[in-house]
Amino acid sequence: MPILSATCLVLYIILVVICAIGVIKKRKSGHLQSRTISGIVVTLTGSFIYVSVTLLRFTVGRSRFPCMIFSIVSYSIPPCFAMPSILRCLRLVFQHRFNLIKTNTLSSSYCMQQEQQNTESLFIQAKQNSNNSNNNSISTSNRNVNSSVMTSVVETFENNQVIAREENTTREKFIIKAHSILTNNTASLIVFWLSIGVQLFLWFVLMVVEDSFFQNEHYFMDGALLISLGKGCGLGFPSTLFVVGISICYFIVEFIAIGLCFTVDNDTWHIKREVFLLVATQILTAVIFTFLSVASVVEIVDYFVPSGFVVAAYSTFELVLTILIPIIRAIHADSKEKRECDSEIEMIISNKETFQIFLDYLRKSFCPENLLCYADIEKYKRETALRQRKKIAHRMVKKYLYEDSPFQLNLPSDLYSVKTVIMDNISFADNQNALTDDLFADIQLHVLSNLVDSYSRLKFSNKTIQKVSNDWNAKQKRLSPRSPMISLSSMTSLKL
Amino acid sequence: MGNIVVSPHDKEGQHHMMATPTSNNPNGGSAATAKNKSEITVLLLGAGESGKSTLFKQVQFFHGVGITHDQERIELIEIVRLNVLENAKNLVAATQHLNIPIEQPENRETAKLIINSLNTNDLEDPSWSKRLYSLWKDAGIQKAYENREKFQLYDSTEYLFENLDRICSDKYVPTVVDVIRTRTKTIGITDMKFDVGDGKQLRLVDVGGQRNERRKWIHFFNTVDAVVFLTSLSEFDLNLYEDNGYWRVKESLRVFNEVVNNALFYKVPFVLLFNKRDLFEKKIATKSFSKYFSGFNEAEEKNPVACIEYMTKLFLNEITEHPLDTVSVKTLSAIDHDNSKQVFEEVKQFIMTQQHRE
Repeated sequence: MPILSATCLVLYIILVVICAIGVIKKRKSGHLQSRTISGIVVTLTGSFIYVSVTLLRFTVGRSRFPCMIFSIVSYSIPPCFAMPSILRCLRLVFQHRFNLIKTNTLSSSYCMQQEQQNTESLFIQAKQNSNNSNNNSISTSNRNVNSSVMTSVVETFENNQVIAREENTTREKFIIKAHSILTNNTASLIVFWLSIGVQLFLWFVLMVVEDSFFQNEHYFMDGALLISLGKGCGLGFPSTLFVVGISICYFIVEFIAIGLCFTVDNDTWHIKREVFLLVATQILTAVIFTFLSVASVVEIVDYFVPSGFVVAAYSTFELVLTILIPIIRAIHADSKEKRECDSEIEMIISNKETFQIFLDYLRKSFCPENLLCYADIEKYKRETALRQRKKIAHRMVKKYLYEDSPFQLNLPSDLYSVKTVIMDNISFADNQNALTDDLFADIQLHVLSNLVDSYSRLKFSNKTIQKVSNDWNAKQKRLSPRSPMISLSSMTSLKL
Repeated sequence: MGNIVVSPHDKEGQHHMMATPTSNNPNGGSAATAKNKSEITVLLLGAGESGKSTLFKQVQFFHGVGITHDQERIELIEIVRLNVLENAKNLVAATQHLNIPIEQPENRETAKLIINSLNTNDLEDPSWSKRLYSLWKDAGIQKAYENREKFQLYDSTEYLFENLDRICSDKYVPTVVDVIRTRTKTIGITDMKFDVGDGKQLRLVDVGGQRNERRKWIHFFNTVDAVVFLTSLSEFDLNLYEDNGYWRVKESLRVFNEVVNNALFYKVPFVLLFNKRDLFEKKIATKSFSKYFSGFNEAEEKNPVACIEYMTKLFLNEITEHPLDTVSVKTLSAIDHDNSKQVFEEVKQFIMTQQHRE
């Protein structure tokens, strides 16, 4: 038993270390950003506190493990388990609502791109402002979050009335505010630690009560006092009742949050899927845990499968699902992106800074649609889920190929007829007929050649681009054969 | 706003090749200047491939901008070679499309390479000069070329193939003519300014001509002082790039009608330029002009003057709103440097006198 526990503990710690390194390395990736670093830290700490102590207790032996540490951890189980999920669900819900508002606001000024940019930057500004004002209110008092939310919402929006369209309702303001709190790293960490703090406080009160009145009865724990360091103990009946009671409160909150998640669309980063998978496992864990607790009356079962193990297993699963898999996805996505660029223009586009310069130049020349389409095609290729692919592809056809769209591309007539082929592919796509990566290959090639004209003009007028271009060409010269400005060899089919 | 004011004695000599777009504020900037007339905005309009950018490049050139310098033309090597490859590809594709086999086996090999793997940098190798030229001279390709009205091909095809020995070399520097002759589809809107004497500046605006591009023209309509509308004489047997079932002449007439009768242009001097006169004269020697115009007297179809007269009538008939005395009609061969210079000078004079009258 101790050997098995020790092995599990070592494996678990390795997992935590891998996750921690992964989080630090890939913290810029969308897969982790969308889950917020604080959310990940909360999950990691919550899980680590519980699992390491449980496994350590089994390793050392239940009768020898200090009762004080065990009781403290037992008392903080409910928030350790529920808080990461609650925060995750709420964040998902409010991110969804917030982005709905944002797209609504932006689509009203869809055609006027300059206007669009302004609104967007103002929005960001508003978000930052609210973040700042929010930090202060939260750190002074957590209990007042709700009231301070409303007041600072009003303040922020009075300052930024330009962006607050007339129809910006109180509800929208609340969503914007809630979104900024939930995605604010400091705020959610504070909430998490406060909830654990409350539990610790309760433990402390009970400990003082026990120390004063029940010193000889081991009332709360089986076999030792809450405060005793030298002796091991199990959960006493009052403590079990206490932990279960608090857990139920947390679970109610969690289920409300999960209920809200049902209204959310599937997201690019698979957070919704993850939430529901976790809930299913959580319920399963609860069932097994209850069963084992009942069965553990028969000591032998508990000896082989201590019920604590089940919860530890769930916690480990949570780590893998919400941290390790996103990290792996991030690494995978990055390795895809880092492939060698075939041509100079692709190099310019793949670099974030030069991409912005290029896009800005194209906007001033009234032709950003080509670059936007190129970026969308790349986004399409990165997406792996069929349903998402369909959605993106459908939107792209409407946006770039339809004649009445303000983003219609300048393409030769045979490529407009490709539109029908693409549409057919999209509507017939299912598990047997996947949407392939090269669905837009011809369009992408033409978009690239459309960009040649603007790019060669940009190169003459922008020093940064000139420098990047020269550096790249110098590098390419060393690796012969040199790469061209655009590569035509990727043309897949010949059409007239 | 970082506008580049172009003058022949620009000391920088480096970065003035192409004008930066000033278009991020199309209405603000020149609305003020329009009053004191120190800046004259001239729009180059017309359907796709009517020669707007060619004229734009010529004007740049005879104002001593950009392509006059060797090191700036070097930057355009890629574009010239890209043109060669695109032409070759289009011709090979056309042989498949029209079911004309490429006759020589070694030329078929070349064609395969062109379609699958050839890049602009490969053309540094002089051996490609011979291979591409041999492909060009292949009976199959030549037959496809004779039927070029049935597919999309650049006007520069013949010129570029005849100059392969220069282009396929690691020492290649594009000549001014090479740059003028290369086709780059203009996307969006670009402009440049240059001094025209009397403390005045001319701001020439070049635009893309295809249907989706024309939607962007509206951004400039408010600030305009003169419109130069180009149409290609040699397009009478061709269909549109963006819509292969649509006759180019019909499209040009339609666009012309929309532009010339636009209320914003009533008081604006309007120049109609019939471009590609050189190509047109060559074309009517071998092709029937009257086949495309039922109202045209067949006996006159080999006489360019009569044909152009007929076309002029066709276009002027479209004018319903614009006062006719502020419309001027000229023919042009934009690839010809001297002709462009002369015609542009006349256009400039016409615009200036019209403005004086006002």
